[in-house]
Amino acid sequence: MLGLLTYALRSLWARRMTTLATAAGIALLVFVLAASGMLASGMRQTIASAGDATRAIVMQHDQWSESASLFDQSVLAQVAAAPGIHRDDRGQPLVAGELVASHILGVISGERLSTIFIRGVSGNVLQLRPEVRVASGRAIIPGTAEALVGKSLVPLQPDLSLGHSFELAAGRPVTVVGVFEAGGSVLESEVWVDLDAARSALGQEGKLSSVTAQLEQQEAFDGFALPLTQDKQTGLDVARESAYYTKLSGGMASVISALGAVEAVIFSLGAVCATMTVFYGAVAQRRREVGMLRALGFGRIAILAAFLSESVALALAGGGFGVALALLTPWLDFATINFATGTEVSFRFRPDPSALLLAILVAVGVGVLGGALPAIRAARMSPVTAMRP
Amino acid sequence: MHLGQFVLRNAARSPLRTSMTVLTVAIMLTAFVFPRTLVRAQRQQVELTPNDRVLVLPKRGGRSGLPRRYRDEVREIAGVRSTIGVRWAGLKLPGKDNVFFGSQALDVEPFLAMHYELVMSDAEKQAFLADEATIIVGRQLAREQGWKVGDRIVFQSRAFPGEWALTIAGTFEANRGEWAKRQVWMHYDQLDRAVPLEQREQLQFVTAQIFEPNQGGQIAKAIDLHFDASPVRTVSMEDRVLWATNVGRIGAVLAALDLVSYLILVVVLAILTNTLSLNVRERTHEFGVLRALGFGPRHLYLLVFGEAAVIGLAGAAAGLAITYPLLESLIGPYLQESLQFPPTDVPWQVALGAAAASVTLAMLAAGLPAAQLGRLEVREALGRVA
Repeated sequence: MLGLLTYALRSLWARRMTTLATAAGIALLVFVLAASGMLASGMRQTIASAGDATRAIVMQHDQWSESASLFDQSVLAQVAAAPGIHRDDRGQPLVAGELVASHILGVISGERLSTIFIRGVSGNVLQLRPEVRVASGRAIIPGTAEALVGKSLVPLQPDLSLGHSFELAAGRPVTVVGVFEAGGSVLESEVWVDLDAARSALGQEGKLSSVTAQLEQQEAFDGFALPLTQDKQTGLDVARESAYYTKLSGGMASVISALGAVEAVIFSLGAVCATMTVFYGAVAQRRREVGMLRALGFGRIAILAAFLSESVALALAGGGFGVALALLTPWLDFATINFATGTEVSFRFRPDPSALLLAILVAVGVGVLGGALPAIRAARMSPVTAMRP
Repeated sequence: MHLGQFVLRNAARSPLRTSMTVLTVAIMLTAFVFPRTLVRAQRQQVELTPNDRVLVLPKRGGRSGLPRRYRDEVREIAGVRSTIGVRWAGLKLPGKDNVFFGSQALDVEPFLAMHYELVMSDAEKQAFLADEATIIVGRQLAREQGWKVGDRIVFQSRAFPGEWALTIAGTFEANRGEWAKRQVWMHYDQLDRAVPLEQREQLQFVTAQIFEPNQGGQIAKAIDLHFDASPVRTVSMEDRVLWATNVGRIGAVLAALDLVSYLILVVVLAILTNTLSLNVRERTHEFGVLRALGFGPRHLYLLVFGEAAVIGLAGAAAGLAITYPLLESLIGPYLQESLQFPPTDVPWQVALGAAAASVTLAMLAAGLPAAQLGRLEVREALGRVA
């Protein structure tokens, strides 16, 4: 049996140009599959990782994003009174009301609209989101017109680099005093401004978009949410922050997965046919070899196994190469616009084991399906006719 | 035997190999056409956007809007011919929350005058103008929903309370690619009357038609300057810029798929080369006989390239036969329904390009075996068996 495997591999080498071309086709297929899976996974990760399961977010009922939600300041006190909220050393509940709005910066070089996400934040924002760290500059001083800018915005928006200022409204310049990191999450694509400065500049005095609360523990969520959702008059929705961001990440990631998947499905059908064509050719070319093997005593199963292992080995080699190529993509930065919020977010390809595994499995599938019929044909040849010149 | 006949018979000699090759080429062509169709549809949106329009949006994005008087103020700015105020209507069909289509409420008269890309009869335009309780509908949407001119449709809104019974005054098509194929337009006042009091007289954006198409950038700046000191500031741009931004949303993804589609052609070339080489190698002996009988190398080239052309053409034909139904009836509707993509019609340029690629690649693929054949000595060829 081992001898036949060597025979299969040597056969691949003997026809190395054809082998290379077929393997390259399979590599391309695997690359498309793996890369689109990795990009979708990177998007989900970037957006979803902004959410924490121990934090809860309260928004206006039936609004799909913070930037669409709006209610009165009074909701903050209502939320702060709910049970299960973590309290700091001084016994204060860790909650914050924030105002979130998208803001059109302008038209970049006459070609493209540039939209950013503005978040009006309170003094306790860094306590509330301990994963956020001021990377350069300093935090904003409450009550001033200062801004903290997310790390991934800086290369996209030169106007928002440290020390620059931009206008949130006519005659209301905001100065960038710091740049923050948030573990690569979508928060890094936001601009944070003092809550009151944001409210007056955006003409939303006394309004909030959302209230975020740090819960004592994950399990405290139901108890926390119950009194708030029961209040039908104000009309509030309560969600775990992680669930909210997971929902937000859905749209864009599914577009990319779907486009990649459609292309990959068509392509894999093509790859099966291509592999089949190549192997039918190989069987025809090696008719006399097969006849010789049969005459030497190798059975039909052995011949079948030899050709099948040849096609699977070929597919695996191509698949391995495709995965290797896909693993190079995390070095690329991928700026795109988040469908849910309409703002620019920067993404990376994320080496996602399940996407890679799926790609390899598809490659093996192509090898098996493409090799099966030709292998059966080889196995069914009678040694006598096969050895005829 | 005629040479052409000989070529056809040669191609049919190993029917399995030939048909598998043709099938491979056909499927790969579909994989080539799919991303190109999407890319082209998106780019076309930008190219076909008329360049005599300026769009005025609120600088504060998201939920904010513009006061309706901005429509009149923009009209007064130098270089502006006419303006319309547009409000998103968010119409839906009662009980059919999953049926999505675009809908806007706007100033009908200047809208029809400005949008010369709309193709509809004058009688239908007049009917739309004359009655406030009417709408016009993109022909594709009308077909989908089985609507006819004169039908009364009951709508609700995703954004506002209330119900509207509106009569279809006309259906239109637009000379602008995929634009507004699934769109409903209604009279502004018809919507505004149902909107809660404090949200009335608001617009999502203003569209201005300008006199000089090349002045768009400057007029946009003038508009923004005009509202610079107002509480509601604006961002104005040529209409095209908004479309370019939309394309940019998935532009990078499409660019990547586009690149892949070219690499697919390389795979096709490899498959064709493999098949043609095998065919020639198997017939080396025959070719030797032909040479011995007095046929020149040119005749042999003709045979090889002729066979390649047959396979290439068959691949192109089969490819188009698969591509059209697959993309337009299966994948297109899926992308429209689940991802709200614009309709995917395969442009004839893309189809023609794919067909040309198939034939060209087949000819290129014949190059290698033909060259080997040219170097072959008659004696050697006759000596070789298979």
